[in-house]
Amino acid sequence: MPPSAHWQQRIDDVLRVELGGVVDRTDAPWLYSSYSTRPTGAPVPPAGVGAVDAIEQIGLLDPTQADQWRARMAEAARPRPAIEVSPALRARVHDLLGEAVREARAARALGDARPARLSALLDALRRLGLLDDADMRWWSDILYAGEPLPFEPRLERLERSIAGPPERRRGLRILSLDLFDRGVFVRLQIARNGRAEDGLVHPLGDELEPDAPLASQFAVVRLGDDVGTAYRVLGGGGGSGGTARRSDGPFVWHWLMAFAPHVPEGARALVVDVGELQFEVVL
Amino acid sequence: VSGLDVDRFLAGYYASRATHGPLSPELQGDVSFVLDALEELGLAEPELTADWRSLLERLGRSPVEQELLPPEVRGRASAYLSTRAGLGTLEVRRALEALGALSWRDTGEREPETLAIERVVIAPWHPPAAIAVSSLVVYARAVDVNWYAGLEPIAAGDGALARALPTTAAISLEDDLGTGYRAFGGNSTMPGDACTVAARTAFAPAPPIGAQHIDVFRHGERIVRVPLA
Repeated sequence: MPPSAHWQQRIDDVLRVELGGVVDRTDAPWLYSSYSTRPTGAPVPPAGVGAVDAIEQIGLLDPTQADQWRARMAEAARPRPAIEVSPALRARVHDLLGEAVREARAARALGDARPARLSALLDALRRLGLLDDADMRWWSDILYAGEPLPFEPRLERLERSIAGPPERRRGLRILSLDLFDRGVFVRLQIARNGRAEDGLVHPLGDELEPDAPLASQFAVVRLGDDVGTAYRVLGGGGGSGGTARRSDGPFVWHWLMAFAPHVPEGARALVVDVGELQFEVVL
Repeated sequence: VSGLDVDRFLAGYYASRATHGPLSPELQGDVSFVLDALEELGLAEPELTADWRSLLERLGRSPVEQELLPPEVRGRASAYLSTRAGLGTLEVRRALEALGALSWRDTGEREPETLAIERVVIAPWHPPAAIAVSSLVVYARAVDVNWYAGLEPIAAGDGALARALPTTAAISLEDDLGTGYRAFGGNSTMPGDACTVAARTAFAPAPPIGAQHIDVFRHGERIVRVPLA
């Protein structure tokens, strides 16, 4: 029986991402060369075709669909032809970048310091072939000219660490708050067991809300205290150790966020908001 | 533009940021910003960008809550994977997992060591050194060391960032029972404005029952002794 429209969409999405990987390995090979573990001289399997073969073999693609996907994968593996950019389009690209730089500078003046989105645009336009190396140098110079990045003095002195509450909600637990001379780091973990052989997801021992959906590792994290300090996010990051992409496996996400300023004397409790969840840590 | 294939570009651009996993809101914002720019430049029709925005939305869902295909299909997928070996296996497995045709248990992987927490141990205050250790997180089969290292403020574009990053390989552990700890993982981040690297290095095994303390070393220099008893 052919898969439902829902599953057909999912198959299409999975293969589109595979196809994108083939395109990326073809058009940006410098991103992949250093990670290759293929023995010298070993045959190169046709990129993306393995996924198509597998999905066909388990009965979710008919032979015609599979052949169409194999043809698309083969096409994606061919080097991209050089493009010709008209002077008019080139001028529009530079106008657009000029406007984006002005907006980034205005945002920076308001405290939104990182021009990451503009970097994404530069990267995209270079990949498209609309900017060359000389253009990239020109725009990088314009973007950063005479403006030191607005780094705070580093968080130099770790003054005190406090363990978070010993319970977990929706998979999320505040591990600790690390109080520095000029800011605070909050360490968090999101974890949930995988589906066991009996088909159930057994809650971890410290979980208070085992039946609620797992907290998002992309939720906005905020910090507050009982004396009304306005903490701002300095940045943060996390990692999964590879578990984040499994469909029903165990999930672990180690995560931390940095805030400024430091916790003022007189504060007796910190409050960490993660999306809809709130945790209080008594100082 | 002669020769320009925007759909191809978007496929590669997207894949360079995520492989079957959800994109963070920041990366989704980046991709959306690029889609806006392509529309504004007249390089992509709204139908094409709407299609990619829709894909972004669908693939942004948490994988642990995605449904699985019926058991008979998963059985076929597992059987097919068992016939494969060598080159290309990873690609096949990844695609089948993303599709919901393969359960993580089918791949024979064990649960990660750093899942269920037994306790969090705050490190005692210690004088400034190359790194500052803030806490240990003890699991049943592992222990995480949470630590920080400062960086000099860096001028824009001087390329010093990579050189300044400390390495987690420099961290080692010893306890009073002579347990042989082996570092097996971890992660680190440098929040944009903080000029401080925050890191986690994971070691196995967990400290054995009866261990009184763990010493944390960096390049052989003891940074702090953390009581466990």
